[in-house]
Amino acid sequence: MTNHFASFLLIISVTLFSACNTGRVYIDQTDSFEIAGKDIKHIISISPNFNLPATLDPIITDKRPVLSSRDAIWFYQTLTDNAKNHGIYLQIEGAAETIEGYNSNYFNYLAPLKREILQVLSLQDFEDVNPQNPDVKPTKKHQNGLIISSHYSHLAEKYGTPYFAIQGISFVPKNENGEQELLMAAALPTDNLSFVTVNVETVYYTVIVDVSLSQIVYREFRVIKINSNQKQFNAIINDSFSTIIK
Amino acid sequence: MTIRFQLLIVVFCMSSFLSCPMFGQLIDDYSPIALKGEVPAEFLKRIKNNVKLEYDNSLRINSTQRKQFDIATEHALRKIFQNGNIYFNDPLTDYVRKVGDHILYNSNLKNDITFFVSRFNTPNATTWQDGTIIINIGLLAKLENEAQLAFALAHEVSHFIQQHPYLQYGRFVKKKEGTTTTNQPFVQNVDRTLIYELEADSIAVDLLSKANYNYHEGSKVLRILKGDYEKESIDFMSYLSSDKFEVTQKLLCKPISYRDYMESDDVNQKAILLTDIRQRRLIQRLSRIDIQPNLRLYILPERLFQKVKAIAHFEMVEQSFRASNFLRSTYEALVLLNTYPNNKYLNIKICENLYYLNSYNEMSIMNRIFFDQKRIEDDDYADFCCFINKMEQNDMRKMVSGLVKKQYQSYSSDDRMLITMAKTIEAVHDMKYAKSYYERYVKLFPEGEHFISAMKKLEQL
Repeated sequence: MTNHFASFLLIISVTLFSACNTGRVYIDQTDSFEIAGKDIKHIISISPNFNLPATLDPIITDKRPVLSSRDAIWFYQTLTDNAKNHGIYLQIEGAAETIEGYNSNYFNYLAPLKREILQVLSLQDFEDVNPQNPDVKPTKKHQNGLIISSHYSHLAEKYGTPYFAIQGISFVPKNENGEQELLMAAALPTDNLSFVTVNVETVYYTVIVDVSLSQIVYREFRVIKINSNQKQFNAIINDSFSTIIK
Repeated sequence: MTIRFQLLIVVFCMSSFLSCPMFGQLIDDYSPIALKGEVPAEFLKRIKNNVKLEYDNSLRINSTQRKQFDIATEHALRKIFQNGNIYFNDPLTDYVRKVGDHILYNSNLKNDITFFVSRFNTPNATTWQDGTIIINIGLLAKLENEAQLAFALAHEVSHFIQQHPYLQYGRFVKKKEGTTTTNQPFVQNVDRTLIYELEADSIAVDLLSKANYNYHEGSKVLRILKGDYEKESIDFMSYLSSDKFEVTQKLLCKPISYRDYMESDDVNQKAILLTDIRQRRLIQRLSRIDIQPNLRLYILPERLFQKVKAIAHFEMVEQSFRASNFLRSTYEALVLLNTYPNNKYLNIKICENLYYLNSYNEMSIMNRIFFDQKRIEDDDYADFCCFINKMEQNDMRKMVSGLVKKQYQSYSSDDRMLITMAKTIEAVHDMKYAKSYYERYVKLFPEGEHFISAMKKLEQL
């Protein structure tokens, strides 16, 4: 490919996640990730989300689950253990439950990077960007070219790896047909409660950015059962890291 | 000349000398706020859900409902703080807290309320039942004096005193349970919101009166919230023109066309209507109060307010850019250029924004990144958005490359300008032409934020 930024390929089509029999899995990754992916040894995971329903909040007429961060520490440990089993050092930064010595670097660089990753995902897929204009249909045709700002490239040196990830387990809304939109931005947790409605599914997701290339290089999105237990979560995460290093 | 007079002159000269670099700095350049030092305890506790919600359960909601309210508040606060939306150890927060201290002087609320400043551009402020009050940079940048800021803060303090966050939640719960009934829930909600707002305005006047702030400024704050204030016009036609491309009248939208971009939806209209009612009520109330002498627009030095206002506006440029809202960032930068025409940061930031806008235009997706659609109050901004949105790809390419080259002549030794030049040349021509600029960047800025990215570009050749 001549244009490096025009390298997103949909390499794995929609399949049932048969290993755990818990739902669907969508993955896409770039050429550069296909090459470099095998050598990934270190990923910075920026404040992973672990949000499962505790109660239903009556403020929005039962449509909005109040999110809790129960068992978040277990989730972080499961992530790092599974990464380690696949030869990856997963460094979690910015997780509220575990970090005592918060430093400014997280707020100056990593939190904005996380926001920017979500923003670029949103721009790439354009879901809900222009909800007031029904003539503008969501499209998946613009995954090429949109980039993370290059000023984040210096983080590769600061953290000793160009790979930064946003990961988590969270609710996502279904579309009008009750189907999950493939990799749509609104489907990813934006930490904006307004995105969460009663018409939701639970997903495990990983988005990896190579800051030296300013690219989102890997996106994975698994729909899982809301009542999955810890053992099932563990299997899902294990399978995810297997896919990353393939 | 007496010694005392001589001393006064010395003090005046020193204070002028000390104050000059602040604005001198903004005239020439601007460095966006970087969070420094140890993260304050009051900040960390909001991330770690260590906040305490104390309120009188006057509506008698049950313990499960109380727990839900507590969880919802903690969760929302945690996300706002953890996602890096709140400043700390910065000049904006310092100033806001000083004004807040004046309002709460001699009050037993001092330990219950903490003021923060957020990176959000909306002209607004919010109150939480744990005593967190957050004012957005979008409001700070629009206020005209310290008394107006004091009113905005006092209004939020009043919401806390009256337990309005809890009451809003509690009334909703009760309504759902059927304890209260109405055939027109929307109307009732609007009325309730209005009652809370009027209450908060009224108490704010008392708080300002005690603190000697000019409470008459309150109605001007409401005017600002409605978007009814004098807006600076921008001259983007001449700014964006260069020897490569001239922005002519022919390329602009007609007012009838760009007004399509301006706010018109019902919710916004209702919000304006509510603020209208608030403004009228406030003016009525103020007219009944005996004129109080010695009310002040400023208790702190005026120059401090002007500096904070300017910084907040510069931050709007930066935060809009970081949120990929390149149109808003460009527009705010153009507004600031009226006051700071030679500011390096602004001139370069416009180039950076336009580089990204051009990228989207190349992909024919400009019409989809228009975040402010239907929420624009300013004619000039609507005109600017309309102009950019309808621009042909070829025209925009010429306009952006022309502007970037023009600015590069002035700021070629700046790393942000150099990398923007390299990226623009690559986008408009190809990597062959951009190579020398990337090489120059790598040579001149081995510690630069874009160094690794530039190296990768060269490696790919």
